[in-house]
Amino acid sequence: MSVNMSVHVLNRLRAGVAKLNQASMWVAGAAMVLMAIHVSLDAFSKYLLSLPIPATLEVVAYYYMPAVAMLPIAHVEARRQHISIEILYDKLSLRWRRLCLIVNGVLTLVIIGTLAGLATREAMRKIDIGEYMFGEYPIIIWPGRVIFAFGLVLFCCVALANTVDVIVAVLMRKGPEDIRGESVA
Amino acid sequence: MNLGLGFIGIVALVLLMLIRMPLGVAMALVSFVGVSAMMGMKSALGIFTSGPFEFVASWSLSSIPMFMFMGYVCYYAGLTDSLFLVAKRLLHRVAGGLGIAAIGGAAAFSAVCGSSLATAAAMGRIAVPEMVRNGYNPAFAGALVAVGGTLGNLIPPGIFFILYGIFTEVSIGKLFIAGILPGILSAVVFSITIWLRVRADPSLVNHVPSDAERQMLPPPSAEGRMIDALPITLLFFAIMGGLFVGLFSAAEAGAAGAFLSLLMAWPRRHFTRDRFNRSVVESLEMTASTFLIGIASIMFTQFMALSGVPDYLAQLVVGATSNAIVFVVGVSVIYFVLGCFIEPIGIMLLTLPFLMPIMKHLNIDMIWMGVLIVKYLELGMITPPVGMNLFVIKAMMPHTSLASMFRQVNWFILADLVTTGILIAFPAISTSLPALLK
Repeated sequence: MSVNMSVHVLNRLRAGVAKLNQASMWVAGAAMVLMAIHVSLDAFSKYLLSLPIPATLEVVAYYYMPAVAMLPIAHVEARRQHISIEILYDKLSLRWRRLCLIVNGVLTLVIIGTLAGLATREAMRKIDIGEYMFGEYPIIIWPGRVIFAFGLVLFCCVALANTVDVIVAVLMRKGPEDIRGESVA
Repeated sequence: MNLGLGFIGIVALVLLMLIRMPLGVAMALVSFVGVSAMMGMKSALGIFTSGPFEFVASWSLSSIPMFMFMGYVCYYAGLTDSLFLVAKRLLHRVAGGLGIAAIGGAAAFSAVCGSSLATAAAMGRIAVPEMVRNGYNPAFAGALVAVGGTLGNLIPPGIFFILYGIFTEVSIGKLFIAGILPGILSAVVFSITIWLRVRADPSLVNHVPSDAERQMLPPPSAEGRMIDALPITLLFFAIMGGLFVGLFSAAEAGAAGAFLSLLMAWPRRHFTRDRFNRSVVESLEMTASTFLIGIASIMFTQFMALSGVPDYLAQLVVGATSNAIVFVVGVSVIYFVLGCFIEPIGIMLLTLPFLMPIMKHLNIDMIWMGVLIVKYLELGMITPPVGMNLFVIKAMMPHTSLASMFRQVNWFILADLVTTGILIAFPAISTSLPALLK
């Protein structure tokens, strides 16, 4: 397969990940707005009418929170905006910065991949047993684990795409302006 | 053996951070490898299977995205602009009155927003053009707004307090209330600093804007009317009042605040669909960054606990001094140095596993320490070279150099050190209000 062909395939994959990312942000945004409305209505109804909305606490913890906290982490990674220290990195030459990005990318894949694997295995196990929260209103809670695992898997996909970008840039001798997160300080 | 692995892990973490690995990823990686080395890979896999999910699936932590959302909605809807305009009207006769109004506006915005960056951005958008138009030196105007942003977390609600409360198991409601007086004290000290600076150097408010600067200025703001500031003031008192009397939990207060600010923003023509989307996306981005570090810090805390490093350091410190004040001053120096290079949330979650055992050994009031830590973290938002608040303001002021803003900020850093000294000397400023809570 020629280099151009490989780049074409990679671009298609990147576009697919970008679409998944966008869809995840929509879901996370909807979850955040719904959480604000749901909890407020529960609070008002509980204190004013003594009629709380059933299972609010569980829905917030096991549905809204995994979506709001985990689905956008891939989007933040795609923009290389996770909190990091740039004090030394900014002073490095382009070659060293790319080496840092590749090392970071590979190590990120190792650890986030491991966590994603653990989370996926756990989610499958909980689906099998139909995990639910026993209480006044029993509620199925395994979907939260699926959302959590999906957020980590998507994070891995983005980290992989970002790392491949840098490797391709090195192989094809591209300038820094072609790669996000590589702008010359 | 484990102790040695713990210290190797800390060194490895620093090296990974220096090559720009995201803090959350670096902490998770070091923790996983460290626990694997101590207990074997199988045990590490077992330990880290459920912890990260349990951290995220939390009712209490839902207050973080909610308070962020509330702050961004208020910012993008311009709901708090009236606070600055009213303060401007009240203070127009005072030397440096416009600058003091910006600090007052920032303090008021902080009351509905838990983010320093959003507070600085909100005041930067409205107060900086007003000040430059009225002859303020742009670097001075930018610096004082960045400084005003540091009230964002101290005056409740504040994201730093929520995270501190979760990790130290201190009531978030009490921490919020504890931040009120130190927040007001900080605002007063900043205002006095502005007044003194303007009296000492009148050229700070007699600057003639260049053509380039003039072109960047938006049209003048309308006069501030008290009635315009009423809804946002009521919102603050409803949320904080509910927390204070124990009607709301922090999670409910956050959600109600976000919901009510959305209701207030919706009818405003200014709050377009694009602005709504931006408030959602920026809240999600901040939330995700915070939670990645949060998950990693849970893992790091487990790694450190297994290594015994925190207890070892606690014994060292307690052996060297049993004086809480010496410890607190030592911590302030460490935070001041770290604050120059690392983002505040990262610093707090990185250092709490080490500090908590020592605080317990020395019987230090956790609420007082929480206020001090948040104050130190806020100081880190304006200290060079990584003063995030200044970066936000700089993005709005392309014709003003960052270096000139940092020079102006130095005076406020000195003022903040004075405030910190007062808070250390008089713990009651932080602890008296929470003591009134049940």
